[in-house]
Amino acid sequence: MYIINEQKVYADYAEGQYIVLNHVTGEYYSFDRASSAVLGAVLSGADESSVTEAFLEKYGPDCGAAPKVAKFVRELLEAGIIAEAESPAAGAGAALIGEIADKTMPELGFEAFSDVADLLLMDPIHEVDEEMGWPVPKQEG
Amino acid sequence: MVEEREKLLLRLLVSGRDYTREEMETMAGDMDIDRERIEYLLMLGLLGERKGFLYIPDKVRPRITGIYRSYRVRNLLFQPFLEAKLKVLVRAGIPVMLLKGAAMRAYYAPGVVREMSDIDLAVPEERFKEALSVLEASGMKVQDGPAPHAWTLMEGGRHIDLHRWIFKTGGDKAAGDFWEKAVPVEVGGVQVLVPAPEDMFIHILDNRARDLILDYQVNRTMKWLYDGAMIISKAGTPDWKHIAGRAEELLALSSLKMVLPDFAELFPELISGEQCREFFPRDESYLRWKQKAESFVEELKDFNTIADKWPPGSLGLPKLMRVVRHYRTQYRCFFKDDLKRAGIRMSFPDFFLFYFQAESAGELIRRYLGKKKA
Repeated sequence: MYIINEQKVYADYAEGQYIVLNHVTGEYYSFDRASSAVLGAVLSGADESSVTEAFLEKYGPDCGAAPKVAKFVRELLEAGIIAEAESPAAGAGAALIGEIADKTMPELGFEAFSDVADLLLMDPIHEVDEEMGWPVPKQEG
Repeated sequence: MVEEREKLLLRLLVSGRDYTREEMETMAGDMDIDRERIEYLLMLGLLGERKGFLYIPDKVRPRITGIYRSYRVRNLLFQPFLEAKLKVLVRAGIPVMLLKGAAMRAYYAPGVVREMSDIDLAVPEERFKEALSVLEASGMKVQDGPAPHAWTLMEGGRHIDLHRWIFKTGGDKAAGDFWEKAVPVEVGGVQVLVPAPEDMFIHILDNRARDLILDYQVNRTMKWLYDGAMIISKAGTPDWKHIAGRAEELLALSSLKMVLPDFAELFPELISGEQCREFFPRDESYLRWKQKAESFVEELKDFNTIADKWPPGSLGLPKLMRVVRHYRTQYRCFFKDDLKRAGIRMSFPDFFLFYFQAESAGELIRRYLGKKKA
């Protein structure tokens, strides 16, 4: 059972996706929809085994869910994004896994960008990579 | 002027209806993104996010999603700062009201990503000096150039505009019950307030009207229309007669007469042209208000042309007299009558001293002479 580690991070959830800011280090973490669903599940009362079960039910017994879920939760803890909770939170829990649109078992993870203050100085129209958008800067040359 | 594609975008955002492929083609089909306004792109991103950015042209989708993402991060960065400052004020026993964008995010359009360059907060006038001290003790610094209604504090690149009056001319003081009618809301575990829906609506439109007159932020045409629609929708079926009466109490009726026709054109389901004409007629009092505003704009253009030519750091009696004339015109056109109606005693000398943060004319002269010697 986990909670957002509010001592270090600030999380924002909107329209199916989380973004997380580490207000101590200035790092910014971006989650895709599938990973956001898993993060949402563990924050609303689900443990690793119930999340894994939900994936197995959705994608079949050979989808490789267990190591992917375990790795993702470990990475969230190591980054200080989540912390262990004493009691489970109320919420949809593992049912959120059912909302994932991917047709096969998705890769789970998050992208980390360092020094969000510098990233925000970029003009998000003219100084960013046209194929990727903010926060990826335009390459020189 | 609001373009057709902007009108479509705003109507879709406010209604919550899903957009079609054809509608996205109208809004983004031939877009030259390098020439677009950030406001439009952000709102397009706001709409697109509801459907996974479906139908947004491939060549611009990455940058539009990136713009949306960057503003989500900016908004998120405000949050811990805002909550920390609210906590210090509330712990000091000072009631706090969120205004403008902060109120929109906390209550009227919760979680909606927006352009926000600063945070507007109000405290009761009698607690204003105390609130300044509390915020300064928390690490903020008062910036030069306060306005009669609000002072700006800064910390680490973030601004708070701390209001002692919500309306520039003290309209809330005139009404007398602005704080009583306010709506409680919890932010970061502390209880604060936001203006009541009709008061928030009038406040947003009054600000828009004054910006238009002074030519500030004219490119932000969509933001105020969106905010106005979201706010008035929260009030249920609007009673426009009541809103007009309230605007009169808040000394903002002429502002609404100026901008409501644009609002009505876009959201006829919220206010018809007929209601506009009935309750917000552009009558003689409006025309007098508009004439005074236009007089000040002429003076402002003239002053800026002259001021641009002054060498930096130069001082002299002619310059000082020209500055005094400028502020006297602003006082006469924008402040004098409404301050009087609001029961606020602020003569022109008081107004002038306030702007230059001086307690007396003697202090201002000594400061001027001191700089001259240096």
